[in-house]
Amino acid sequence: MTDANRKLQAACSARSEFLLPLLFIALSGVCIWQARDMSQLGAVFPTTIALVTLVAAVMRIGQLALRGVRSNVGRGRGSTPRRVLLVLAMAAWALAMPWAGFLLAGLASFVTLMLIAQHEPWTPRRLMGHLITGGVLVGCFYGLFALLLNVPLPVGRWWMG
Amino acid sequence: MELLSYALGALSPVNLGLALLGVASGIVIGALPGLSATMAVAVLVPVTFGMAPESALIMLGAIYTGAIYGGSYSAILVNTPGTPSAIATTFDGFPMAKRGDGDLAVTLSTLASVAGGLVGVLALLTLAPLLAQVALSFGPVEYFWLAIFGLTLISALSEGSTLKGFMGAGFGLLLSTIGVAVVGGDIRYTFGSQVLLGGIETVSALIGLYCIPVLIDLVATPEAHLKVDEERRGIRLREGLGHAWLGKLNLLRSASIGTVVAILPGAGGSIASLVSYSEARRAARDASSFGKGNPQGVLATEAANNATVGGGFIPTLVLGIPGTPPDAVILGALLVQGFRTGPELFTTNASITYTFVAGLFLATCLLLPLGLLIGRYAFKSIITIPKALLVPTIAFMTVIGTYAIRNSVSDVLIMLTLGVVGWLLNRYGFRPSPIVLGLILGPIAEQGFVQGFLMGRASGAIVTTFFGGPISLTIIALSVLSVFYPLLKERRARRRGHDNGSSHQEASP
Repeated sequence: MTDANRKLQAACSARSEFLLPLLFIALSGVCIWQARDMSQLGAVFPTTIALVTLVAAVMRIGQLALRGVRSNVGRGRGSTPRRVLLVLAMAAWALAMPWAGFLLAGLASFVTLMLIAQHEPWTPRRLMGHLITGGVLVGCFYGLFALLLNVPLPVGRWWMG
Repeated sequence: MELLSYALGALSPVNLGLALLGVASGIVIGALPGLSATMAVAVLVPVTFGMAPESALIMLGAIYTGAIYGGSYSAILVNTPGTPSAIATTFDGFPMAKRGDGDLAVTLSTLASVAGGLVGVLALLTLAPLLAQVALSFGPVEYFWLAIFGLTLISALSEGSTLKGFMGAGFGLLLSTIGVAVVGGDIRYTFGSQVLLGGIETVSALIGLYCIPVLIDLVATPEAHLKVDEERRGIRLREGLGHAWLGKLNLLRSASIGTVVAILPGAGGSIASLVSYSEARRAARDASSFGKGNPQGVLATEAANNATVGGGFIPTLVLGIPGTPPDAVILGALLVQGFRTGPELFTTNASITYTFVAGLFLATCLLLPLGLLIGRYAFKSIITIPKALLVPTIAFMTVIGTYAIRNSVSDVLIMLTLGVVGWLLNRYGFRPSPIVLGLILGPIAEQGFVQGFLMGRASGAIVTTFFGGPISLTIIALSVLSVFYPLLKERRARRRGHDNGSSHQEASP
């Protein structure tokens, strides 16, 4: 077997392949450290699990160091700004929900996410169609959860005086 | 004969209509991430109070059966288990949908659910008192080993690196310890936050780890969510039946596992489907194709989780101990209708028992046409809906579904955070399945371990407590087999390949 064949294929860059086990070692360390303040019964399980995770991470680093690692050059691409925007929009949605109410926050977020996910240019007809469909979908879900299933969805502190 | 008369009674137009309505509403609720079978049954139980007893029982059975099956739609089409028992369906269902076989996967899940459901109902009818005794022989230690058996699936789910699988499962297990300890009441890893006191809700975590990464990648590129074939192939029933016939042993084994696991109170459909998936993979000739869209994977998990419907009712009806959370809700409704649990199941209570079993049987049969019909519609909707509508719709379902579990905005934020962590880990080669496995099995393993430890310490024989019982030893043997059998099989195949290679070399001039 040649040296190139023996090398492990990374899921990402070779450097990041080392980074993640190090993060797991840090996480396990924090968990073991925190377990000092727990009772024996409460600490035994998380400490054991943290130790197993730590050992697995150390073994992974050893495996990478011994066999070497090849960077993955063919990783999936895509628009990072859109990914970040999606996460930010959903976080803003969750944070705004208690204040603006479920329906308003839901409608605003639906439109925002619609704009983030659209890659082709908008035409007035497509925009109208999507907005109407979005309104109907949000209305249906709201009706199902709030009216039929009696889930107490937030009304919005801003509107409660 | 008695059963036949009750079954015929169940076939009245009103009852048939209620069963249809129950199955359909169960499927829709089960398909929405965050809305579990428990919620579907709990929400619709009051509706049945005003009905005739037999109609109420038939409708409840139908809702439950439909909800357990409905979870497979979102698992296959958007990689998000609608109910926790559909987790393992994502392993092969979503890869099948990605390559353009989503319609076939939905058909397979329908066929397997019907087969599994029928096996469960049959076991309930014929073996109930006998199997209920099995539930009584399971103590904390046996539950601990059962959870460990479930965790051995990590080696099967860790694509690329088993060590990464162990790290992921460790992360999931550590997540499961957040909040108040199951035994002892310690407050762990909350870092002073009130929000984390209640721990991480499993279904919220499931939605985050499975669905948010899909959404994040969905907005990044203009390509379609699933591969769409130009040629319209309908529901592909014949092809599905072919796969089911080929995997008849797999179906039967998975349905039996589902029935037996469901008998154990608290184990539930998620463990049943994970264990049956592991066994299907272990027994398969092409184990490496599991996790990459093998139809047998979908058959195994769906047969197992629908078999838990009938299986779960065995301890519920015989012992009054609900096998799964929806069983507890239905038991309440049965008590309202005048049912009493115990040995009079098939004597004094025969009318209620047989009507209920006939209702379950009817609902399972109705699953076939309704499931295929709704499944086809769901598949068509997912592939034809533009991305600009699909993304906000899925996002809306994840947010409302997570919020509805505990009416908590914090759960939505935790779900989103776990989703981003899951996406990052996925990018670095860590699959979400071992994390989820750890999260689900963590509390069962910990409770069993700590209780077993206390029992062992009190009796002065910790080793005997954990390794002494025949059930424990059987599960330990199965766990060892589950971990090492694939390795042995691979080594044997490699050796055979090597031998063939040498004989070829010798033969060539």
